[in-house]
Amino acid sequence: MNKQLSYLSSLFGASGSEGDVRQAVLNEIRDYCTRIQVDRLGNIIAYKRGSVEAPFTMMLSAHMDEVALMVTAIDDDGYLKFDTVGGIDPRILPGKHVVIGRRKLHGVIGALAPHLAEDKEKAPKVEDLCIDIGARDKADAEEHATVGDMVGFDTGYQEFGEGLVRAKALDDRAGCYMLIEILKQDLPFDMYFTFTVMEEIGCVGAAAAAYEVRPQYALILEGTTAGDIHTEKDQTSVCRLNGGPVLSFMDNAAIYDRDFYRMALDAARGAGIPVQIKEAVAGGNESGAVQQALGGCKVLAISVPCRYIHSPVSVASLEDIENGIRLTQAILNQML
Amino acid sequence: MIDAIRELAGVSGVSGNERNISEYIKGQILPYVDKVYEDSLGNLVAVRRGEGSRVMLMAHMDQIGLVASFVDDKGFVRVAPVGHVDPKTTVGRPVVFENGETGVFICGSKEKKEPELKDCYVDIGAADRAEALRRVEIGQTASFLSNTFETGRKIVSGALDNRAGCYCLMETLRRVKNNSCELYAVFTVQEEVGLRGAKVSGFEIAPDVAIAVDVTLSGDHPDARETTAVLGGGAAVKICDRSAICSRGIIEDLENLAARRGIPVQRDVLASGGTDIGSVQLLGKGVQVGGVSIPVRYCHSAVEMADKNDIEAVIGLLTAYLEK
Repeated sequence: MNKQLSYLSSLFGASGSEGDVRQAVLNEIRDYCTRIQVDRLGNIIAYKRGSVEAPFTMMLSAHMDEVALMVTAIDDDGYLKFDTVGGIDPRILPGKHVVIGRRKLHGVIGALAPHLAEDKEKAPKVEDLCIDIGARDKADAEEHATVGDMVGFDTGYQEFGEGLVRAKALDDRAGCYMLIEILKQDLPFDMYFTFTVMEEIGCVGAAAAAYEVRPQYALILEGTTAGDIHTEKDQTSVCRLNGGPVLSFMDNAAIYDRDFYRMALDAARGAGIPVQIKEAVAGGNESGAVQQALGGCKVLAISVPCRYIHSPVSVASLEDIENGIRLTQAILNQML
Repeated sequence: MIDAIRELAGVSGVSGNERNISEYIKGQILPYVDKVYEDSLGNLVAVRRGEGSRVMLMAHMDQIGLVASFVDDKGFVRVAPVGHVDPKTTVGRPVVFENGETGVFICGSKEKKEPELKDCYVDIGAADRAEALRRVEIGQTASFLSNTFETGRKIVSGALDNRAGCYCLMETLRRVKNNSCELYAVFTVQEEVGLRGAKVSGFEIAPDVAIAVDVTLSGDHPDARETTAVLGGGAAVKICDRSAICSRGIIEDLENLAARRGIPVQRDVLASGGTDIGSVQLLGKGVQVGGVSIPVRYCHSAVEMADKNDIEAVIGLLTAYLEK
């Protein structure tokens, strides 16, 4: 089992509440960095010297936060009302196990049973759902939970099938894992590693980190959506598991630098690393925020295909993740 | 004028892939500037040394288009829009990919009243998926083909947004004699996908004043939503659009200057759309912004139409502003 990835995935880090993940990453990388700082927003900005002084400023980034829920009210019967923090489809929420607040209170997301649902065809909206924490009444619930508490999915890490993993928060703990592994190895030149906060609510951390690092090139390590289920022949699956790490030419947040993109494809071919192209213009990541910070920089995203992304459980391929590390290293080697 | 605009409209430059148009413009303006360079995102920056405040003139050189996102099993190239592509005015148009491969933009949903982008694709006449992938690479952009011609006093072309603005800025650089400011003429990238190029260029240049040279909507044709600026009314001095409210001082300077020089102007209050100044205004400690626009009918279609006198007025006003 990949213990490192398992541990990172098991930590809870809603946007703005990344403390546990930050501590874990700091513990893991501290001994390998030349310099390390945590900025005012909570981003980790680590600098590590490589074999030569870099002729340009390079930034590698992965975000620490994950999609989550937040308690917005406690109703008279002691149920918790909530809203989403980051992009979550409410249709997938009913019946899920959750943990609430720093005390890790257990709960389950409730919706009316099918026997009682008025319109079985209609998917519930967030406001139709509530979290049941087994409270007797409002006063009882208020002793255990508070408005503003972050709510995470209670999903274990498991490896299954042939080299697949099912876990929560693979977006973007897979990226954090890759970044840590790359940082631990000898580097071809000096570079910055940023572990950022609040990506899921608008790439807040990455923008601040970019202003601090002032990169000329940036590589964003991410999870991206794999639609390789029930795909008709005339539909795109965007990318598929075990097809290798994913390179994007454009998404809703950025148009990737042409030359950087071509160079990455060449590096993959040269090193014999499988790579796939994201066959859709969808989603977005920190690349947009970093690309447009200061006087701009050249960006590229390397993504791990994840099925059921932004849900309580995603499925990814361990081989894709390892190949993502190799691809990143191959690109770095080619940059000098 | 028509020949220059025809040439500009004939060079491709879909957002994010502006190298061809950038090279072309660079070649044309070299004799008239002190320095020219490209920044990290590809903005083309031309500098004319001068005393006084730092003035940034911006004309975006990118155009809307398509990008190949995947090829289906029958060899049809599925595409995503780059910028605001309206299927009503673009379906049926011929397109050309970066590598010269051509095709037609088609909508597959015949039974629906209005075409939707998700049903659209490019037919390059490939026999199957393998042939299509040999000819078009995923991630390649395609621009819409169009003719550029004159009718009466009007110019018709599929890329007036914003090659007409590029033409105005290039002509201004050629005509301006003694600029009373440090001039940065920037041909920006990625305007159509969210004013992205101007943001990083503005940050780097840190101007005192920034003026966008772009097209604006002219609602003077049947069934159009009425607009303040119309074809033939002169250079349109921007008051506001969805991205920015212009600085009063700039508006007054431009209007007073136009009155003194006898340059026809009208006001441009745009209820939809934005321009590069939207992302420059709030940079650093703030930037005084304004806009000088060319009214255009049928924007983002194959037959965008502008008035030659308006274009002349825009060049005249910009030149006068830089020499004031």
